[in-house]
Order: sequence, then C-alpha cells, then structure tokens
Amino acid sequence: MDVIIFFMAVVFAMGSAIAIICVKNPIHSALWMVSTLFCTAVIYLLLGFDFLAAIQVIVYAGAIMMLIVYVIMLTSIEEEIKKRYRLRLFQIVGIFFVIIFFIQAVKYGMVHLTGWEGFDWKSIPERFGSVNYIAYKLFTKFVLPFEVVSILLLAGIAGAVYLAKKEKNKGE
Amino acid sequence: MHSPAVLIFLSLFLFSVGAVGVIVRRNLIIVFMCIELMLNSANLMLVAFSHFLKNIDGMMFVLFVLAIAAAEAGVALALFVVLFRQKGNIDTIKLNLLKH
Repeated sequence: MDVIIFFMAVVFAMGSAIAIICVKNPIHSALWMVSTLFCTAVIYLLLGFDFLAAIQVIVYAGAIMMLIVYVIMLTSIEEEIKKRYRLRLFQIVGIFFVIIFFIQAVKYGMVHLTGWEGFDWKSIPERFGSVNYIAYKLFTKFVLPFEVVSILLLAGIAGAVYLAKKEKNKGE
Repeated sequence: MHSPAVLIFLSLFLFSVGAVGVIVRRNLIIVFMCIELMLNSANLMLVAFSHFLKNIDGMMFVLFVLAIAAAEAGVALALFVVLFRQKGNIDTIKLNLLKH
C-alpha cells in the first residue's frame, strides 16, 4: 500500500511540475505548484518526516503560494493568457543544455547508487523525524543558524514593507 | 524496491523542469515559482539522503531552506508589485533597462 502511494505521489509530482510550465494562466500554474508541493509532502510523510510534511503544507502550500496568488491577481493576467510567444534561440539552446544536464546527472546519480539497491526502507528508527528530536537538534547543534535565520526573516519583513509601500513625498 | 533511485530521479526531474521554466516562461511570477520548484527539489534530495543515511542534519537544512524561501518570497513579490506599478508589465523580455 505504501509503495502504491509512494509511486502515485512521484508520478503526480512529475506531472504537475510539467503542468506548471505548460499552462498559460498564471493562477492555474500556481495551483499546479500547490499540487506538486502536496505530493512532495506525501513523500516526506512516507519517509518518516511527519513534522516536515506539516511544515511543508503550512508554510509552502499555505503561506507562500497564497502570497504568490495575491500578487498574480495584483498584476495583469489577461494579456498573458491571450498572447502566444515564439521560443527564441537562447531559450531553445537553454532547453537543450538543461536536457543534457538532466541525462548526465541521472547517469551520475545512478552510477553512485550501486550499493543502495538492497536497502530495506522499512527499517526506519522509531521517532526519527519527530518534533522532540528536531527541537533538541535545533536548540543544541543548530542554534546559531536558527538565530541567523530569525534575523534574516526580520530583515525580509522590513524589506518587503519598505519596498511595497507607496512613496508619497519622494517624486520619482 | 529502488527507492533512493526513484527519489533522486524525481529530484533531478523537478530541478530540470524548474530550470526549463526559468528559461522559457516570460512572466516573472512564474519564473519565481519555478525557482521555488528548484529549491523544493533540492529539499527533496536532502530529505531523501537524510532518511537513507539515518542522519537528521539534512532535514534541519531543509527547515532553514524553508525559512529562507519564505523571506525570499516576501521580498521578491514586493519587488514585483513595485515593478508592475512603475513599468506596467512584468515580462522578462521587455524589462531590458540595462541594455540601453
């Protein structure tokens, strides 16, 4: 049963990732992105990281994608839907090199996986990704990155407020 | 069961799709979403190896990447709103101020 859900999540994630870049309407794109994030959360859950799956759904699929949908609605999407674009030369060359990158990276990754085939993925330790263990690690080994990230978030909030407010006295 | 192989393949696939989206799409918000997709694929690889190596450190990095992605989303979307207010569009081909 787990295996079926795992492969369904993988296939749905790949399909909705392709749909993100193929659909014309940006709102539909954002919704396909939410679908990809949910499939990734399911994979995290199957790997035993329940807290991370919850955070993924709440922060990514909830907060960030909500923000993106708001900004898409603030900008104009009508002309985006109507227009048809031709691919330019640099885009075709770029796609070609991304495909080469993909093939080479998969080859490289598979070559270095020869010892992993017989891995028994039922042998997960009991409470490996639990909130207890994460909190213990977060406040002992990772306490400096934790503080740095909190300052970064504060700076991000200040920057976003400063950028998005209307400038009244400074004429530009 | 080749679970690590499948996860690596999925992660590389998501990364490649995100890179193609960054190159192909012209709406800045969709480009930003594709960058988020690439971050997400890196997260997936980190979590997969954190699971297979029985080491929680990779997962902690994913938490920090999530926080940084949230901060990045706030600032980038504020920038897009300002850009749209000033220029009237957010097309990556038309925004070529540095060229002239």
